[in-house]
Amino acid sequence: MDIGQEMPVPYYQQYVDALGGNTFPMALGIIGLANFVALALVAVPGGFLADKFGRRWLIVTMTFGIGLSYLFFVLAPFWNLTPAWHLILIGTVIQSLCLIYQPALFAMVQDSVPPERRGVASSFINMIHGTFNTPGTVIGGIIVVSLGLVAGMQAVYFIVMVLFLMAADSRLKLKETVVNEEKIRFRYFISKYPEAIKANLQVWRIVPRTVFWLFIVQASTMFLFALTNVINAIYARDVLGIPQDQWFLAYIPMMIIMVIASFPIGKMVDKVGMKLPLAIGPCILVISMLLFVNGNLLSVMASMALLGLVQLFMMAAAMALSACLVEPQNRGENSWRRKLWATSLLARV
Amino acid sequence: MGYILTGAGMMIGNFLYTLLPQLPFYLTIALTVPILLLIVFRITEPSAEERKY
Repeated sequence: MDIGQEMPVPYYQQYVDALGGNTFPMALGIIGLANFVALALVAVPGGFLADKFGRRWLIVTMTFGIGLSYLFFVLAPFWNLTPAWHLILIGTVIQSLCLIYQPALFAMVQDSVPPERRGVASSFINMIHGTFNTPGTVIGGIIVVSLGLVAGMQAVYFIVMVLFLMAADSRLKLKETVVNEEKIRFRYFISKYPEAIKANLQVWRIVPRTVFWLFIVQASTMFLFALTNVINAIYARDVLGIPQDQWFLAYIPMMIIMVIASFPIGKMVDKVGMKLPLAIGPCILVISMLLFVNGNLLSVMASMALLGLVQLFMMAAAMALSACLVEPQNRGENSWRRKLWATSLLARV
Repeated sequence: MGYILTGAGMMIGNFLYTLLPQLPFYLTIALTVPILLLIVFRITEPSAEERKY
């Protein structure tokens, strides 16, 4: 799934552009907005559903759902009734809604690992994710360069669909960690929604004020990343003149740096504290933007690598800070969301 | 709220790009200043004795 997830990333914006985005310039923004509104909708009840009805059914069903949603991306170029990017929009929203299983997966990992080994297990899982992300962009880039943009992206999305369906099939072997005989009912999803939101809001009354400001910093950083992530590939092609067949190379330094710098930055946070690394993040972000805005392929590669560093600095510091400020019983909602925050920063870069 | 802000950021970034392609980058640079100020003045790191968890 990690390899598959990253494969379409370098040429996603150009694909939407080729499917009618060039005649409707707000297509990428609308898809991005719909994506995150859908994510926001499922962010709250996911944890409740996982606790009430068990983790396995949610994880398996929704992984199949994500896999099948890639069919919209594969078939989009054949769609003639409305602009073809509308199918990308539908596929994106389905994917985000299916991500309701994220808290269940996070909870299942926590359930399955002895408490004293959760830190190591979490680092190991993150390392595996990071390691397998890197070849995904390269493989996806080579396929698109070889077959052309539209046919290449169709091939990439088909491969991703197969990989996700294989992953969903393997997840059928997962063992349920919560025993509950109650059957899932859709009305529960609706009726428990206000309760879930209330429970989420109540957490903010308990946690220290610094955690609130930390949340504001994280949300603002997500906003900043989104401002440029939505158009950076189109900007690189149309404004900077970077050839389309070289664009995927810009992702390689970022992916590599996220693997090799992850551990040293974690150690740095342990050594010098959290505030300094947290403050370094925005400073590096400014340098990264300056390198990108008037750059060439080399400076864009450097800029993307620095973006990776920004994420590592801010993520490591924020996770460490919230871990020592938030009581263990109030971390659940925050911690899986923080994991999703990290992946959201990378998504659609 | 983080997701809604991210979605809004994508919409705004795309809109600014249609006005002037460099605008999303300049806005990002400008907005790092208040974020940095928040980190410096509002986030307090607990001392080793204060860390309960």
